[in-house]
Formats: sequence, C-alpha cells, structure tokens
Amino acid sequence: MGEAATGSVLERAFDKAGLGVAYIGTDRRFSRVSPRLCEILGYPAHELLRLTGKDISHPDDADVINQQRTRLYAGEIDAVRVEKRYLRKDRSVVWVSFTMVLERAADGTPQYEIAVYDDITARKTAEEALREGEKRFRRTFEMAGAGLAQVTLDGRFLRVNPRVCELLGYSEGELLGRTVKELSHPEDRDAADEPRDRVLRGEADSARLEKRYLRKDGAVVWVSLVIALERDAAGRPVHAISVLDDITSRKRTEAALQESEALFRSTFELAASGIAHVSLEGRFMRVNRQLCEILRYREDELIGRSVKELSHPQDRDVTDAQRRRVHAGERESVRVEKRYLRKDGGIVWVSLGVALVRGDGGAPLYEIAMFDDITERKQAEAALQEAHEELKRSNSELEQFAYVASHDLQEPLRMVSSYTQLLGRRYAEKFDADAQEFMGYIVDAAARMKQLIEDLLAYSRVGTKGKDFKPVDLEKALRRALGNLKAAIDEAGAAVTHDPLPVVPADEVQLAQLFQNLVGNALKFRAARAPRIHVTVSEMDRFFEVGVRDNGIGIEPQYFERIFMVFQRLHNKGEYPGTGIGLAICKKVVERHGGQIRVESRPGEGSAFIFTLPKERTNGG
Amino acid sequence: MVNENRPVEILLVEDNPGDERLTREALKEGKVYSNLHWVKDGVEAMEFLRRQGKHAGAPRPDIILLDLNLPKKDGREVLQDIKNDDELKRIPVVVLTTSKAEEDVLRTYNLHANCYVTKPVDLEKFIVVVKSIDVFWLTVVTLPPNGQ
Repeated sequence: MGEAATGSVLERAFDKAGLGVAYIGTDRRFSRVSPRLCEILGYPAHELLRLTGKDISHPDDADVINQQRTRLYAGEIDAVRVEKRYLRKDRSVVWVSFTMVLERAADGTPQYEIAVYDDITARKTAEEALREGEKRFRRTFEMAGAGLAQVTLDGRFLRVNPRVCELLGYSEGELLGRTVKELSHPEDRDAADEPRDRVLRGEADSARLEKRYLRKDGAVVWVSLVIALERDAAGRPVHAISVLDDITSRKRTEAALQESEALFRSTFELAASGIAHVSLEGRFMRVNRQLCEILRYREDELIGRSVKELSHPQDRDVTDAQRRRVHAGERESVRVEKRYLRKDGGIVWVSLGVALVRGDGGAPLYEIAMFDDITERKQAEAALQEAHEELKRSNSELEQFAYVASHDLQEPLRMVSSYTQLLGRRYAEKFDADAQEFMGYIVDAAARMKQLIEDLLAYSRVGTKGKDFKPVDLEKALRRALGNLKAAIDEAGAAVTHDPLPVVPADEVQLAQLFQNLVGNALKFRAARAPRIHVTVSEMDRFFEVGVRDNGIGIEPQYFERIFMVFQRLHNKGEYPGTGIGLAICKKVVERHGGQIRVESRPGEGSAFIFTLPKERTNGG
Repeated sequence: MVNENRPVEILLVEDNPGDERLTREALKEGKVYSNLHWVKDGVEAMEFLRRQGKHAGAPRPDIILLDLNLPKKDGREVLQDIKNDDELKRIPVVVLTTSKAEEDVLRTYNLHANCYVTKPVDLEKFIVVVKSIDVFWLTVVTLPPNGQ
C-alpha cells in the first residue's frame, strides 16, 4: 500500500526526531504504530493495535482532544494540538505533546488520522518541579517570621511579605513602588548606602546593619537589616533582597540598660562619698573622683593598688575582723573609723563602710567600700576632748583654789573676829557704847562671811565630792535631815509628814542635804500660822516626783527661776538670815542625780518645791 | 585623869602667832591651869615630843593641839608619826581645822586623830573649847565614830 510506503519514509524521519507516529482509523483504533511510539507508550505494537488512544489515556486526560477533534473533522482547524498524559502498560505516566491531522479522500470524506507523539515527560517534570519550588518559595516568603523584601536597584519596593507590612505599618499596596529611603528615619536615611554599595561591588555577599524606620503611624521602629543581591546568570545584579528584623524591644532594653548604667555611673562619680570596688585580694578595682580627692591620688595610681598599703600603719588591720564577719555572712556591712595616708603624706580620718557583693550563687565577687572624710570631725573631737581635759583640770584647780581660799580666808577672819571680841572682854570699861556697837558689827560681819565661805565651799563640792550612787531609802534620808533640823522644828512647832517614800539610786548624804535645805527653808519662810510641811511622792514612768510642800509665805512667780541661782536672796537679812546658796545647792544635787527641780507657789498660801529623781541610775558621781 | 596639883601640859603645833596668842589668851580667859608649849612646825613638834636638841628637857604633853597646815612637815605627817610611835600614840591629839569642809575631807583620810575641832570665829566659843581641855576633851569636841 502506497500510504504504508510513504508512511515508512515518514516513520523513519520521525523516528530520527524521536517522535512516535500512529495511523488511527475512523473507528479510533490504532491501525499502524511506529516502534518509537511503542517505546513512548510502553506497549508492544500488536497490543496497541487492538486499542484506542482513549483506552490508554490518563483518566483525567481521556477526553481532552474530543472538542478539537470535532472541529478538525468539521474542517475548522487543520490539526489537533494538546499536551496530555498516557498511562503506560507499567502504569507509569508519560507526558506527550500530541499533534494530529486528518487525511481525507478526494471528496473530503475523512479516511484516517495521523498522530505524532512527542515524549515531553522530562520537560513536564522539570516544569512541575519548578512550579512546586516556586510555590514553596512563595509560601516561605509569605510566612517568614522575618520581613523579606525585593528592592529594585534604585531602592524601590518590588515585592514585600506580610511581615514587612506589619513591621512598617503599611499595606503591601502602599509599599510597592515606594522608596526605602522615604520610609527610613531621617537620621538613618543613608545608613544602608555604604553597605549596599559594598555588596554591589562584590566585596561582600551580604551586609548587615541596624537602622530605624518610621512606621505609617509615625512610631519609630528599630530594624536589623541584611542586604543581599539577586544576580542573573551573567552575574549582573538584578535586584536587592532585604531581610528585616524588628529589634525595637531589644533596642529599648539596651537603652534602659544604658540609662541605668549611666545613672549608676553618675551616682558613683558624683557621690559625695569616696567609693571603691575592692577585689577579694584587697586591691582597688574601681574608684570614684571623690576617693581620689580624699586620698590625693590619681585614679590610675589607685587602681590595682593594695588598700592596706594606704592605711595608716597603726590602723592597718583594724578592719580585718569586721570584714571577716561580712564575708562570713554574719553582717550585711560594717563601718569603722580609721586613718589613711594621703599621697602627700598627710593623714586623713575616714569613716569606712564595707559591704560585699555576691554573685548569683552567693560567692563573693568584690567589696564595695565607702570612704567619708571625717578628719574635721575627728579634729573637732580631739579639740573637744582637749577642752574637756582642760575644763577638768581647771575645775580641779578651781576646787583646789576654793578650798585654799576658804581655808586661808578664814584665818584672818578668825583673827579679826576673835581679837575684836578679846578687846571687848578685856577693855570693855574703856570703850563707850558706840565703840561697843562698832565692834558688834565687826564680829557679825566676820560670822556672816565665815558662813558665806562655808556655803560656797559646800556648793562647789556637790559636783566634785559626791559619793557613788547606791540604792537609797528616801525615808532614811528625810529622817536624817529632820534629825539635823530637830531644834528648828521644835522651835517653830512645825508638823512634818510624808507619803510613803521610795528607794532610788542616789547619794544619801546629798539627798539628806537636799531635804534639809528644803524643809529648812519651809521652816524659815513660815507664815504666822503653825508650819505644816508635807513631803509628797508621785510615781511616773521613769522617775519619781517628790515635792516638799509648806503653808508658808510663798514666793512671787517672777522669782521662780531666780531663787535657784547662787547668792540670790528675796529678803533682807534682818527678816530672814541666809547666804542665798541653799536652793542653788538643791538644784545642783538634783541635777547631779539626773533630775530637775522647780517651785510652785502662791504668795501667802505656801510653796511646793518639786524635784524628780530617775528610777534608773543616770550618769552621775 | 589630870593631876589637880600640876598644870595641864599642852603642846600647840601652830605656825600662826595670832592663833598661838589667841589660844594662850583663851586659856587665860577660861582660867585653865596650864603650860602652853608652842612649836611652829612639824619637825620641831617631833623634836619636842622626842626631847631632842633644845627640847631635851621638854615635858611629855597631856594633849596635843595640832594645826594641819604647817611648814616643813605638815600635820598629817606629824599625826602619822605620833600614831606609829609606841611612846607617843597614847597622847590625845586634837586636830584643829579651819572649816567644816576641811574637817570632812580629813575624816576620809582615816588619820586616827582623837578628835577634830573647827577653830571658831567666835572667841566665846573658842574659850569654851579651850576650857573643855581643862575638864578634859570630851564635852565639846566630837568624837569620831568607832572611837578612833
């Protein structure tokens, strides 16, 4: 058959091209198949010849040529062209580019179909893989936690993922076409230029930098940016790829850290105290300006230096025991006063506080030492101490003086008085009345002066000659005083009564003196009526309040303070004798016992002298 | 105790001539039958008591009136020497003080004086004191506690 001969030449040509050829009858059956086609479809020829194309088509592609075939028969198209899948005999899929023409008789009647099969499985697989890869990339691109953007070489957004939109606060549509620079923080607008150029020049594959962008809402966002380039096959840059990471919160933490660091540093540097961090070996690790000033060293001279080395030789080890307690955890910190040697050789007194800084596990890291210059205070203390010693010395000299003076003053006084009296006795008949009176004045004056001297001496001895405090029954002291005053009490016809009296730490002799003076005053300053004297006691929290109350002449309020001063008298000697020292002695005795004395009185009604005595021993004696 | 037939031998240890004279006058005013021997300092007092040098013929005093503030050797030392001397320690010693305060101080020294007398400013009182020597020294002067 002629067709076959023709076909065979054709077949060989197609064979050479790797294409399979088939003649298909109008009944759709293969009437002739080329060997290459058998290879492509995976069936031996005799099996194919019993089948139709539809029989071996992939189920999804069984009818893909139907429509075109209809049009081919109708003469609307001259060939059917499709890409479709067949199922090989081994059930594997083969992709085929299928082209079919229709052979017609002279009268146009369709006679048979000629189909050409090109195996395009390899291409299809590659395409599929490509599509799959593209899909995967897109998914990655879209889902990435980092912002990803393709940027044109002139700096416009070409493609952005949702994270970039989220990061910058713009929609994808708003971003595409805009320049990266117009979204940058003004201060960081050109920050990426230099790194990008380096990548463009091929000096680096990628560049990393941190810069700020302005979000659509105006907020600043810190971004860690990685820039890389996409190049074509020839290695020419096509566009830039940017990876953006939001690092705003990290930056904020960093800033906060910096701020706290700055705060700490300024506290350290500006503190009025000298501060040092001292290593566990006892060397300066860090010092502030104030410490340099206190010790007169430069910072670099102190760092690394042993702290002990700068201590005054006599104070070198005074902190050791205390610091051990801090290291042992017995105490949080300690404070000692010690001397240091300044660079200029001067001595500086320092109040030193030492605390220990421990690590997370509690292991000691270093010590914090606070130095306060207390040189002035120490000097003041020394001056005070000196003044105190001086005062004690001068007090003791004064006491000596008072003793000697009273002693030596009384000698001539006694001579004046005694010899005047002797004159009076021996030569009475030779003196007239005036002379007798004058001699009387001399003797009186001498007696009063003797009393003054004795009282003054007693007053000066209250503070210095007192005995140590012992528990004293006030009742006993009062009884002793009343014993000494017996004559005066009897003479005045006075009634002296008292509340139950307590026991207090005191100097019994002085308390007896106190009662004697107060009761003595009550007797002395009595009114016309018979004196009634009552000693009251009120118990307070920390002390007893004792009052000596009388019904005497009383005292005007304006003299309440004055009567306790030495030599202050309210009455002339003719009315009431006395030297004006009794109450001054009372005040001194009470104060030596840590108490206070005051008077309450109404003229004409009576007075109450009230003094306090602490229940506990106070500083005295 | 005092022999009525002889004067009381009194040793006055006193550096002040005014006081010596006053004592002498008081004894006279008080009509005390006595021999007053006067030495001016502590050293001489001990020489008198031990009958040394110019005091070789001195009598043993019945009573000593001792002022404390003396040149050379003060009254405390004299008192100490007397009380440490078996021959002398039985002689009564009256310490004459100028003030009550001084007396208080002296008592604290525990000097074993037989008594203390504050020299009175008042002559009348002094005469009483001196007179009491005659009837012996128990009436006016205060005996220290515990019979020291």
